[in-house]
Amino acid sequence: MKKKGMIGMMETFMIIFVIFILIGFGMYFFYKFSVSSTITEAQETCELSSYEKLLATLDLPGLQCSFKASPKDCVDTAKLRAFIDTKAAENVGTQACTMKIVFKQIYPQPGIRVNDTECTPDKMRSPEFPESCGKWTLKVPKEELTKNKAARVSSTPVSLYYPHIKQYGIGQLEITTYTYT
Amino acid sequence: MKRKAQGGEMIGMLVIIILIIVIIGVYIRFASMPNEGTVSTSVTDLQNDKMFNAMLEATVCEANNLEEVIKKCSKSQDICNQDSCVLMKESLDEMLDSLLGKRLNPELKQTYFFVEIGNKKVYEIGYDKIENDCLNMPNGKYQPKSYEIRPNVAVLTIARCVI
Repeated sequence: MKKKGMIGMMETFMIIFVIFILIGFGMYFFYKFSVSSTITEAQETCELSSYEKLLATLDLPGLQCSFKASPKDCVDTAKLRAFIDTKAAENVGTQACTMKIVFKQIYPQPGIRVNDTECTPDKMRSPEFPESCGKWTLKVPKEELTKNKAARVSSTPVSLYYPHIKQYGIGQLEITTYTYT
Repeated sequence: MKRKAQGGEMIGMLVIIILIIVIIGVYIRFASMPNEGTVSTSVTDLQNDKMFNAMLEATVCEANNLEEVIKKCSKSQDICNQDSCVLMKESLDEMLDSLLGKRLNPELKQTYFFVEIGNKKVYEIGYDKIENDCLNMPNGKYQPKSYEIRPNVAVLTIARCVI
């Protein structure tokens, strides 16, 4: 009888043990998927908010082309350079998402050597412009904010206006968002 | 006494089976969550709008932009002492190569771009069977976007297959 009782107890403990293991597995999977879905949501929110912020930035009178006081859907490169130099660009984007924002020139194509050259005021005044440089960096995050984070690049074409030569080109607005993997 | 013990084991088994079913249910619920949402669709729309705007505005020769060149091509007139239709094709080749690059490779079956003047295709690049192929894909979303140069001069269309 005593032995039977012991076996019964053992069975009960075994069942409780198995139940706890199963609950543990359930909690593990729940945690794993809820964390991954939260990260995905955060990434999408970052991506969407970066686009929203960017669209708002493109609509800024400080960057947008304007002719006879009416705005046009393009970016004035002279205004863009001035905007970068005044450090106002540091406030573009969100505090929650670490972002890098770059305008790249793609048509007319800059030379391969100058593809990655920043369009400084000197370069923009040179007779070879717009072929003399390839990008305008609006915002670069601090290195410690990008460490151990995955970079995700989103881009959209933009119309670029070169007021010095009164011509239009095509640019690519690249937003790199840094998120935890 | 033995029957009672068997009943207890049965309840234990039932609890385990229910727990397994619940775990599988939770797994399926989270594993089948869609990754592609409205975000990617709205971003693609935005990219298409900005791309058409930037392309048509870009200066192609002297002070003429691509829109002017296409208008001249529709009237079979020269521009900047050149055949406007040849200039249009050369400019589009260069612009689209910079903008879309490898995505225009027909083998990838991702993108198709064409220009119609009077219902006649005067320029096309990319994968022309994209519509049928994309619609036959289980998760394929066919996204065409057109831009009309008024007054009824030409229609530029970009079709993408988003998976």
